[in-house]
Amino acid sequence: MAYPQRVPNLLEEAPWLLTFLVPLQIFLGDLHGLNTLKYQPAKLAAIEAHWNPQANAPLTLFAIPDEKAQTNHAEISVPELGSLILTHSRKGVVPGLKQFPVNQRPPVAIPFFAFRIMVGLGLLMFALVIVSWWLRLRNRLYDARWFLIACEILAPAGFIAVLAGWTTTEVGRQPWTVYGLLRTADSVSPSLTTFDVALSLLGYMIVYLIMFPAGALLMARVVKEGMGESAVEEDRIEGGRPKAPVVAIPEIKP
Amino acid sequence: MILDIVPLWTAILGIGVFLYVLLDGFDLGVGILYGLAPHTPARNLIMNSIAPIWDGNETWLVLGSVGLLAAFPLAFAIILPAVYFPVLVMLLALVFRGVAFEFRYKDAEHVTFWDRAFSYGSGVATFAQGIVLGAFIQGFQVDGRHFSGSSFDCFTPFSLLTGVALVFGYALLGAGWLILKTEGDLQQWARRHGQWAFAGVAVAIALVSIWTPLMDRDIAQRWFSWPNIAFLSPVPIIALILALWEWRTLRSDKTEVSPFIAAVGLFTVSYLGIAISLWPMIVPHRFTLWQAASSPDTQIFLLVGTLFLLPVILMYTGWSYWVFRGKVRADIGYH
Repeated sequence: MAYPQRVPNLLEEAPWLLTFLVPLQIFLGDLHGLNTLKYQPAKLAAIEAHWNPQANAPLTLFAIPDEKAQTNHAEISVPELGSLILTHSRKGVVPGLKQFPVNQRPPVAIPFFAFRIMVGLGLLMFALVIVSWWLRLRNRLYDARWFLIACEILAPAGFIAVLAGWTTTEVGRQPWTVYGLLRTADSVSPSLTTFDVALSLLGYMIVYLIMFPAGALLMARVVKEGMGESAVEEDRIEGGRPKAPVVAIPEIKP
Repeated sequence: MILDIVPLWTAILGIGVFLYVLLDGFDLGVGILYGLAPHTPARNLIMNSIAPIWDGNETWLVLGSVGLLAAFPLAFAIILPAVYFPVLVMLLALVFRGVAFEFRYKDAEHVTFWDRAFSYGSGVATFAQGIVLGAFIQGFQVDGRHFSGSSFDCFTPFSLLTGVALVFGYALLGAGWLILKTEGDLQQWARRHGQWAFAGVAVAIALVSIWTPLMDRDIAQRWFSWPNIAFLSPVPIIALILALWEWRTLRSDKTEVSPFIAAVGLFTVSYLGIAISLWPMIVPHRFTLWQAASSPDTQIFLLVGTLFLLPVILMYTGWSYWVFRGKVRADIGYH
């Protein structure tokens, strides 16, 4: 096989790890959902784009929420599944946004779609685990090209899912910073002007526009060079852990 | 019965911030001197002298700021918005400096860029911390329980002076560290640069010591009224003795340890001086430590966790310094 020894090891180990972590994450996500239903019902209603509180609620797979008309367009849903997942009972009542005064509702579209991106990626990762076992038991883990490509495409999935989940929870909690007690608008520092915030955002953007491409290029280079022995250059001296330490760079020019 | 644990929290935060100033102070100072280093082998050594410990040192910055938020929320709510931009600039500068440790070696083609990211990042972060210090000593415009000035109020002639002062101060600490950790030519180089840094520190301490009581009657009262002046006179006298010791030891080749110790001493005296000037206020002229404190329940709750955590931090900090003791060598680098 052309790969250096470490690559097959990772391909062997990573699905094992995911076999435990992905179901665990789904289980924890379910607990998190029950918790949100109890403590932040308006967030849950927004996540589900659910306008009227109802028992035997359907699960909305896709919709275009319309905040003005307080309804959804182009909705695709599965009957009864919403109550079953969200309350663990077919008869469970799922909260609706109309229960809450308009000025205490979060924006709907952002948490709705961000949540679906997160859960969708989670399910894709789960599918990848199942496929990995199917291939492993047939001894094809290293040879199925389409599987390797799928792994490559899903590499950033965890990262994107975390960002989507974070967006869901932070936008969904609006308009509160301390739920039910302190509104976001009331927790802003009075001295901070829009100009100040714009200026600091610009500062962050400039720094990240330098750092992210630099980091991405370096990571791309590491991938290109591969994990083989050739990646360690002879003239750079290092001690301790390989690949990580600060090392002595030889004199480039006097 | 409710125990007054405000003094305990004051001690924890006071010592925590002081440890931050000393520890990250010397490694930021090393970063500042790095920009003046003569050649690449010297830069390798200078960076490696702090590579294993610099990020541990920043632990104390986190402890200090989160501790302030939790134990003295009113002070946090007033001070942080008032020094919004210096803190922002400090954090962005620390990004460059922190990344440079990694990227300088992994991206060796752009080593000059990362060298500059490291030295300018260190210098700018230090200068910003100095501005925070100066603004803090000057006090803030407060309305009720919030800061009512503008985000640019913190940039004053005085705070710019304390900014420059801290750059020299950290450079002095950094030079002391390099004298401790290096040998031969590089050590001589550190001694020379330590002397320049010391000259700057001496001028800065003198200027700040004269300017502060002139601009603030409370502080003048604190130091110069009877009998305070008798009790407090040892502070400037000890500062003077430490300064003379620092100067002599930087110029002689006899000892590698005392330049660092004397610099630590100068920082200790200066820190005590500021504490004496401001006590018992945490928002100068406005709120005392007790007025700004969170509820006793909150403080006790936080204390339980902190008292478990502090020994752990102290232990791993001490251990990493022990593991990486001795002179830094050209052929081994750790991160």
